[in-house]
Amino acid sequence: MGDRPGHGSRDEIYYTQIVVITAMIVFATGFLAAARVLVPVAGTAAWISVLIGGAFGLGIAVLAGYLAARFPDHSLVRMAERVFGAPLGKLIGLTFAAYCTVVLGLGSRESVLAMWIAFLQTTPPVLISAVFYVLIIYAAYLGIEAIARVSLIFFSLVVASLLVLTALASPVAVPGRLLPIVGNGLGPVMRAGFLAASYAGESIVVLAFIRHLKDKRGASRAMATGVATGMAIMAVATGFGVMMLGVRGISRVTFPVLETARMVGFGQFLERAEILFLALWFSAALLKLATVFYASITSIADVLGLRDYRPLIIPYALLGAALSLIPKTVLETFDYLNAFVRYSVWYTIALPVVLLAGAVIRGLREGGNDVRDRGAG
Amino acid sequence: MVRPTWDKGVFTVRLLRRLARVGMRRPRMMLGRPLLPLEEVADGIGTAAPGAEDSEASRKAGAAPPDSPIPDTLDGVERRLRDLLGKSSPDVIMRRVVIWTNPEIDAMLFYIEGLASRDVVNLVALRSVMLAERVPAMDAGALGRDNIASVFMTHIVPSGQIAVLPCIDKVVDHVLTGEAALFIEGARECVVFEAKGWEHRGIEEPHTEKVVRGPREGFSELLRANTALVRRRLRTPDLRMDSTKVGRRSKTDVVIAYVEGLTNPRLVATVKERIDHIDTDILPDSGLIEEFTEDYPYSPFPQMQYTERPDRFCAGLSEGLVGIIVDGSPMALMAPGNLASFFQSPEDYYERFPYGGPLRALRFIAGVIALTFPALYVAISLFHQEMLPTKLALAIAGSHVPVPFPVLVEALLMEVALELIRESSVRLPDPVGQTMGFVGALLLGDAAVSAGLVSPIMVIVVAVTGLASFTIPHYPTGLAIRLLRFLLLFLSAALGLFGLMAGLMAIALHLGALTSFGIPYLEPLMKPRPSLRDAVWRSAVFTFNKRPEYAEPLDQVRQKKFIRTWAPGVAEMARKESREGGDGGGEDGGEKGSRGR
Repeated sequence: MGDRPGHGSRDEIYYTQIVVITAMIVFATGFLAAARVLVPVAGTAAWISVLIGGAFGLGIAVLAGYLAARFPDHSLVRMAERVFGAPLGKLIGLTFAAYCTVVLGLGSRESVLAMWIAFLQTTPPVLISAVFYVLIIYAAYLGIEAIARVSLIFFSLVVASLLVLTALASPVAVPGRLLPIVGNGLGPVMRAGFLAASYAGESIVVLAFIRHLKDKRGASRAMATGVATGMAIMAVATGFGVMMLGVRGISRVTFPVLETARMVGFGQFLERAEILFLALWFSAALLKLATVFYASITSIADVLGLRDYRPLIIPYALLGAALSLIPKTVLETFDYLNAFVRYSVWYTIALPVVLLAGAVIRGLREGGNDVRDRGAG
Repeated sequence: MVRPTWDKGVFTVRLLRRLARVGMRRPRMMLGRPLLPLEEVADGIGTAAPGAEDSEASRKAGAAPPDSPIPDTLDGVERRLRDLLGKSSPDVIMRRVVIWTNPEIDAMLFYIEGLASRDVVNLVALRSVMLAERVPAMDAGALGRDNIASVFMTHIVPSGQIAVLPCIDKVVDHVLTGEAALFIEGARECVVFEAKGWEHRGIEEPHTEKVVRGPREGFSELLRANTALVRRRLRTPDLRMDSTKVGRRSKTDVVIAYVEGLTNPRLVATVKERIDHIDTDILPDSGLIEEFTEDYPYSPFPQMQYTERPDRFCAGLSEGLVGIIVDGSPMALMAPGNLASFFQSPEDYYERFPYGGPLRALRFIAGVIALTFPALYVAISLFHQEMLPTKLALAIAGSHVPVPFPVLVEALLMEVALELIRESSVRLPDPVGQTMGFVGALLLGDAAVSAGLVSPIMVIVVAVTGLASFTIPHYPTGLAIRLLRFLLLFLSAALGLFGLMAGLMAIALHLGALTSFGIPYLEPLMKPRPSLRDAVWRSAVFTFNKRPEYAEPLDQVRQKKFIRTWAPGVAEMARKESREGGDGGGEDGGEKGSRGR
């Protein structure tokens, strides 16, 4: 937006928008199936493992925030180039883009499957995926400002829908199903917590565009708040999934939160309102994936030294769509998902730690707080 | 022909006295070049309004460069004017007169009948030029062709807005705006004076923004009346009304209004720059300015506010917006626009806030209904029947049995019918239009159900949608919603709620990217607290301590934080705030003082 001639867009994202974007990145696709991934490991204490993962995630977010504060006007690739020099920096940028690509592919596959399995079984998944990617392309074309603004609006709707769902589910929920509190034991809970940290670790995607934050001093706090919000939502969703379906019930369903939504109704008016919830969650997933898509192509553009990322949109969308079609079945998708949460957490910890350590060792700190005041036009 | 209104007896007596004093008809004097020495006259004497705004504006508007001098003789002037304005225009009046100076001078009064006021021309110009007491005493022999017009301007023609112009093309430009010109035989310059006096519509109640409570005055087509309406409400000396002309042929006056020291100068500069770029033939209405200057002309959403209410216009100026008033248009524009502003009505503020807030929220809900309700019905009835209670699902299915069309076609039929009724009722005179609307809707709906073309539930859906769309106060926003409703209908019919949600996401993303004069379209909705105070809701007026931020006003403090200090507790809060160092201008207690830049 900002680089279009004749337009006065200010390339600014507010603190609240970063909080919301971070929260969306953390929970928007993960919460549908987090219980399915975590319950087999942690048992009834899956929700606690989400909180433990959230604590890990907070650490990652704070580190990422400090990194952003050191390089207030740099994208992730530029930070890496600044710290480690151009060749290694570009390589780190490519690993980041690859990470984003996997998040994009798996996230879009997961969301498309949820929509397909639950409601559109007569519609080819490829068509749903195509619609999904058309919207992602459009969002990426418009830029991060548009995504941030829309995220703020839809986040409130999604949270409201989850609150409504929680209220409606409370009479049906069985708190006793959360016992024993420690589930399968402390070790498995910690292990599951580490897996859950991979959801929280996805917040590093924000590093690609945190330079647009209006007040850079708030970067660390904004990311941490976002991670905490996202993981809290995910913990509630996982906890209610266990309370509604039980540990054994969760192992039998594909998307526990969806099944939870199926079990509630709006009095005598709407009997199966889960489609309404899913429609709203779909918007959250779409905004998350659009953000990841944007982060990825801007990073690739930085690596390639392009001034405008837009020429990359279509080729990269084709790549993402193709990747999302690799898992043929639902089970295969979950296999990939399990593998991803197991290994990606290391990357999400390593990236900010390595960059921050390099910057500290080399004593690099650039710019200051950059509160721009660009007016209309 | 309307007769002059002065007393005929007095006029006759004065005429006879004057004739007796001068005794006989004096010889004519020709201000030709050989007869009189050339005199240097200081330029710009008394260059009041008619000439003041000509240079820049008329040059931009495509007038001839100031190198067409006024011909030496009145015959030459007349020929030139006939060349410029055509030979057979009955409204172009060129009236030869004789000025009773000593010696007499031939002159010609030039004006457009209908544009110039007869009273002004007859009473002020003719009478003062031909019959004024001091004219016969004037020694015309001492006047040269260079200064005679200036002398007439300063001594003879009694007009508040008067100038001398050396270029005949400029004279024509001014006369075409309703002024009158006095050509003097042999003079290098021409006296141009204010004489505007065309027929116009009076100040009436706004047609498109009616309120139950609030002022009834609306803008009219007369620029000066409109600017006066604004001045009357906004008496600050900081109110600026910069004038320009747009349209090579129409040369339409455009006024850019703002409050100095309050409106962001960058916004003012952006608006002026974009208007300056307009190079078109005619400008019949302010709507064209909107299209020429908006950021995204291909977007279905309007990006500038328009109003025919001076009270709303002034409220906008006081919030740091830039206003644009176009001569000939009763619709004034305000920039920038944003989505929330299009759901606001002046009545929100004139009624007490317990009613204003819910009414505004209702309009937002109505906007969502108007956009999505038919699409939601189509999606549920085609794809998600399981959502409905069994009885309702059966009722819908039963009502649809005799209908030979799919639900989408049924919905399209009714939607198109609704649009036809609405469009036809808008074009008809008010009483007939309203009757047409009601009767058309009732008859069409009833007949369509009876004929088995649509189901009764579809009629209800479309009727509710229509009602909801009527609540949107800003007509172009309603048009955008009507347009997008059809898109959502098709998406819902293809992909159910998934399609509907995809469509809504696309619209939301578009809105997220939209800007108006560089200001994000969704800006007021981006901050929860201000948004609840005066965007999607309307809080109590005594909480509006700050102006809305989206236009980035220089002075953000609108009023004192604690006004109701007579109320229990408020005085104590004010004292506490004062002790803590606040100046009462803060927003929420946490933000103190003016943040003016």
